[in-house]
Amino acid sequence: MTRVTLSTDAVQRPAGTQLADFRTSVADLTDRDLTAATALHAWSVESSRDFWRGLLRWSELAWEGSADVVCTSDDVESAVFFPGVRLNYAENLLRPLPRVDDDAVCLTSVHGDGGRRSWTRRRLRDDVAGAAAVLAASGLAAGGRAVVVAPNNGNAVVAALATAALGAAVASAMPDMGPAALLGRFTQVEPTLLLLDRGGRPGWAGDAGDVLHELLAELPSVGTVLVLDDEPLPSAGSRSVSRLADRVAALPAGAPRPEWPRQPFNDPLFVMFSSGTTGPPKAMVHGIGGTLLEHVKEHRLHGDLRPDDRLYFHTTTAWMMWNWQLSALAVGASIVLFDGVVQGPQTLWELAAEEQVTVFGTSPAHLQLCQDAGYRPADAVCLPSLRAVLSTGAVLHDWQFDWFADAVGPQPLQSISGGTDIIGCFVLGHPELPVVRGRSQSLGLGLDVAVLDDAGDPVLGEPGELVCRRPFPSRPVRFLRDADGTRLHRAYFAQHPGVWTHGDVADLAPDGTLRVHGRSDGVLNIDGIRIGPAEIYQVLRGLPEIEQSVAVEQRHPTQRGATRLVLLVKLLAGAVLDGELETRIRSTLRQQAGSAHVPALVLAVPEVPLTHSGKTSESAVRDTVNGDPVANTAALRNPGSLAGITAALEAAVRAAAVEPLPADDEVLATVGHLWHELGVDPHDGIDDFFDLGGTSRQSMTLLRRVQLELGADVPVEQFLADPTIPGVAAAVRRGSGQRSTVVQLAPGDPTGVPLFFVHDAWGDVEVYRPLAEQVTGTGPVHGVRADLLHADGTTKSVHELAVEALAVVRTTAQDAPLHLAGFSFGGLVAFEMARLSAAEGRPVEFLGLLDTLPPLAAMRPVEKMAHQLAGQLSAVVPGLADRPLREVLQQRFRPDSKPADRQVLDRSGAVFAEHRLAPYAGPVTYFRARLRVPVAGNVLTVWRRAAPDLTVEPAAGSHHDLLAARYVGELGSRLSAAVRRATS
Amino acid sequence: MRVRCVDLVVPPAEVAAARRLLSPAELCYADRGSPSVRDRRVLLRAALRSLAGHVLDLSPAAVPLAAPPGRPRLLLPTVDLSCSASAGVGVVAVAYGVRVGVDVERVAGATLAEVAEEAWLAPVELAALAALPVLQQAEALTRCWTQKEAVLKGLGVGLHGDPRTVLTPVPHRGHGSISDWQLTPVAVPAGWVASLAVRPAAAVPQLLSRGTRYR
Repeated sequence: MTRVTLSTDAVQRPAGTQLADFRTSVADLTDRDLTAATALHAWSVESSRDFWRGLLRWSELAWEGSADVVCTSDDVESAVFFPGVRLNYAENLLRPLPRVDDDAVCLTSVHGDGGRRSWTRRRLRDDVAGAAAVLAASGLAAGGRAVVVAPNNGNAVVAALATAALGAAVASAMPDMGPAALLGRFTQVEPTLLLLDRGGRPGWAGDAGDVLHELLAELPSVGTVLVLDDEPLPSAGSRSVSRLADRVAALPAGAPRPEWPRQPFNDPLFVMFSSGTTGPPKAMVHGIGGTLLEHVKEHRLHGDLRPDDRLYFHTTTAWMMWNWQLSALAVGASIVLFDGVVQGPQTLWELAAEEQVTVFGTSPAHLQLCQDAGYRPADAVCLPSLRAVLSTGAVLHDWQFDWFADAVGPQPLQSISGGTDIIGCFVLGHPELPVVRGRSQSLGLGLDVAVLDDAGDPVLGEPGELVCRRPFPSRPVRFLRDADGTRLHRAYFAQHPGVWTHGDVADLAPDGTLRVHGRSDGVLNIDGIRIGPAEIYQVLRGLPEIEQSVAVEQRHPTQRGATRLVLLVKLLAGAVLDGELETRIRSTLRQQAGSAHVPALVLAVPEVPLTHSGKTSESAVRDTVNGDPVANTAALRNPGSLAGITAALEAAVRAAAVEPLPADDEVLATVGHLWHELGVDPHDGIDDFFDLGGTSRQSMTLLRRVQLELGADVPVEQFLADPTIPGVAAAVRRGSGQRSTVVQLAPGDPTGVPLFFVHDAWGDVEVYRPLAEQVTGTGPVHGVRADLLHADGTTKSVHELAVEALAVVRTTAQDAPLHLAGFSFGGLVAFEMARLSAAEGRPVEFLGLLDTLPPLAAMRPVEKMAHQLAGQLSAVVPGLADRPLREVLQQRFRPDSKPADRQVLDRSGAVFAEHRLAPYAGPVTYFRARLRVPVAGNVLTVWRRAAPDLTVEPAAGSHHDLLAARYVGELGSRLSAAVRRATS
Repeated sequence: MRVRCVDLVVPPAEVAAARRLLSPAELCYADRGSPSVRDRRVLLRAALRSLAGHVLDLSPAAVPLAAPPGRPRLLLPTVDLSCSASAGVGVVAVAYGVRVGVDVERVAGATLAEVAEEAWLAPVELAALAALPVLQQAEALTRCWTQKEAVLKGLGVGLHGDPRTVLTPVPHRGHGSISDWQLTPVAVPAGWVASLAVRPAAAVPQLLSRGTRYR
């Protein structure tokens, strides 16, 4: 493979850094001048065996055996590092270190309520030893596997290190996660032990149907549950449940503690998870030595982290940065953990100030939150100790560097990037180099990172595929459930044989700085939310018109730094991308995949670009929609397809600019023209469609054409009410569905009591279809749709919507008892309907609220605040966000710049928030999503004030995917059972 | 059960004769339409009266029909009737002790893709239609429409009912059933398709959504 050479004229700072010390220590291994940072890097990869052995020696880690064999091969896929070295991760993190005070605090765990707990090195070592003794007594040994469910606190550290101390592997996750997310990870681990710190989160009592119950039901291998928190012990059926602290206290005094065995370098330490474009999460096993050596390298050489440093990296236990920051203990540094809620831009900066953090790690989303909120840490808090700020998780934009310099200070802002796959970073900070705006300072030492063009040749200064061409120790030693290594191979080695292809698009500059642009493996990162396009394609397969679709990220044309999702569809012959199909695409994606998957732009293209092997070239699509030159059109079988994409894009942009709002006369003329086309022409004073010979069948065609040409969905009902040209034109101007209407979602038992689902925040009921199909034992299941606007364009209040919906429900239900349910917004309308109906003397027999949050107007100030913060937090916590942080912010600052469906939602949000809950004495069943942002206030308190007869049922999933196909089975049976109970 | 196919393209004298069988309200309704619609309505209504009279042993003019518009209805229990017309061909049906709906439609040139856009076919029907040889599709989808309309007319909701909720047995050449409704094809001239839907009167009425279109 050809190589490119980086410039060696980079600025260098004086000695004194650990990097300088390391350079000196390896100077006699080579004749080369290693002065320049890029020169040192070049040597570290070209003589990578010398580098890794030199690092192992210089770092003075505790290990035994032989380091003679550094690496068994030059092939990244098959190479094995240090087969003769044995070590223990916990020993290396906790052993007494020269130059480090064993009685100084090394771990501070800060809780949301401001409480703190600290450990000295000596104390932490003792606690881990005690815990390890209990774990060993519970049967855990080298080669075993344990899982830790805990917030980012000290208990999680003790649990993970005790497991590692015994030579066993550990996987960690958060108690906020739902059973599906936890099982997606832990099922593959087959752990024998669950270490649990519930952190006050609900759903962990072990009651039937709660998170713990479901987790244990699906993890038969878990024989022992050790509780780390102080809450009452949960029930766990036949499994042994005890409190770790009690078990440690019960250990015989002076009894020998189990050995901390030094295990082979590549024995499992952490099992990490990453969702790819397809299939269940990849369960990546990271080795003891690879992890430790990489982390020590990054902390000491790139971060210059020292024993007097205090590191806080904002993370959860479910993200690899947790493991990364934990390893800072091996350096002798002190770490700070925080398991509370980010209450605003100030929270983490105040934490950094109070804890005198020297190195603070955060994310672009958090920094942008601060910038957009106008928060200036430099003015608000005193940060004399802070010497560096790290950012990772997404692209850190140019202007964020400018903001940082202005609003925080002169500290280096280091954009680091790597991934769970390597439990570390390919690009990092550098203690000797200046920060280059918008870029990561340096390639990781020992990592032969290059950027390849489409032909597979390394390039400088232009975006391409980020690869690592030589073996490195921190790659996964294997995947679980991948006995023959097929998944591992496909994940990293299929694209460029013998080379690690990471799946990032990046550009490498001659000065050695690098900028990651986004994902190349098709995983979209729409402002921080990872979206697998396969999910989009899967959903769209259900639409008969679509032959093929391609989803790519596009730089937002007007909002700097933002990206948006663009969907290209190739339609079957005869199909047309019109307003109806586009709406159906969006609503289907919203319902089945989640709102983050809804494209900002849908383009119909005649063909999608294909490579010569017949694969869709997402990179060519991405470049084209971004207006970038397509790097290698020769690699395309049909380069002409790109012109079609450009044309579709331009047409869409033009259409958006023109905003076709036909005048009244034009509507009338168009409707008249459509009648004429059907051979139905008014004459002699006859103007009724049917009097003119129009047929039922033709009315279907007419309404369809009206929708195509005028973009208006005129209901048959409205057409039949006035089947004349002015009548249709009026219906067009009114827009679709003036009043609430009832749609049948599932037939049910025709003789049974009908169940009505009240429309969502879009006025639609399609979202309920999957659930409706799961409901059993009821009569027909109906949806109540609504037009959310008055004729004059003003929004209807929840009360007005409830009055309308109640009227149509009564018409359909006739004398049957009323059974109502609603998700979110619809729940609030249903609640108001029940209240109205009861007030009019017709009590509602069943009322189900599907994770309906109480409106802000009903909350007390403190509840309101906690709630708003939780909403904000959900945008910065991976896995809980339904839309990019950027969009959340934009909603606050530029309310008009949103996609139309988002505008509807936000209008509904205002309607929702303004509604005042009035008391309702009737029975209410509340289905509460298990996966939720930790909120200080409890929404149920608010509901109970309004509805004292409240029964709470758990529901799988989060608020945003409660009605998704994977959860509706359970929700459907719970809902059916609740209806039955209400009826009996 | 009597079903009759009616030729709606006749000499003016026959239309004039047919007018004499209609009530003033029926004539008034018929005359609202354009000349061709007027004649069609007259001829169809007269045919319905004739057939009902035959069944009830009454003269056509004496058949107690409720005034139009709306579903044709006898002011007598136990006898039900239905009628339909399309491009010169009409069908009338009169049945004793059952509910009945009939619909006729000329086979038009619309393609399956165009019809799919009109959103009155359920996905499963679309799939079944698409699986047919192309040459059979136009007739099959016209049959599909007439079956849906026949059932919706039998139910008395017509277009107010959502055609997508009536799932037709597409491949079965006009025979089959939709919930309680028995479907049979009606013999009509080549180029037209007609369907009859019959339901025993005792059957439980099925609740169909009204006034909405599936979107």
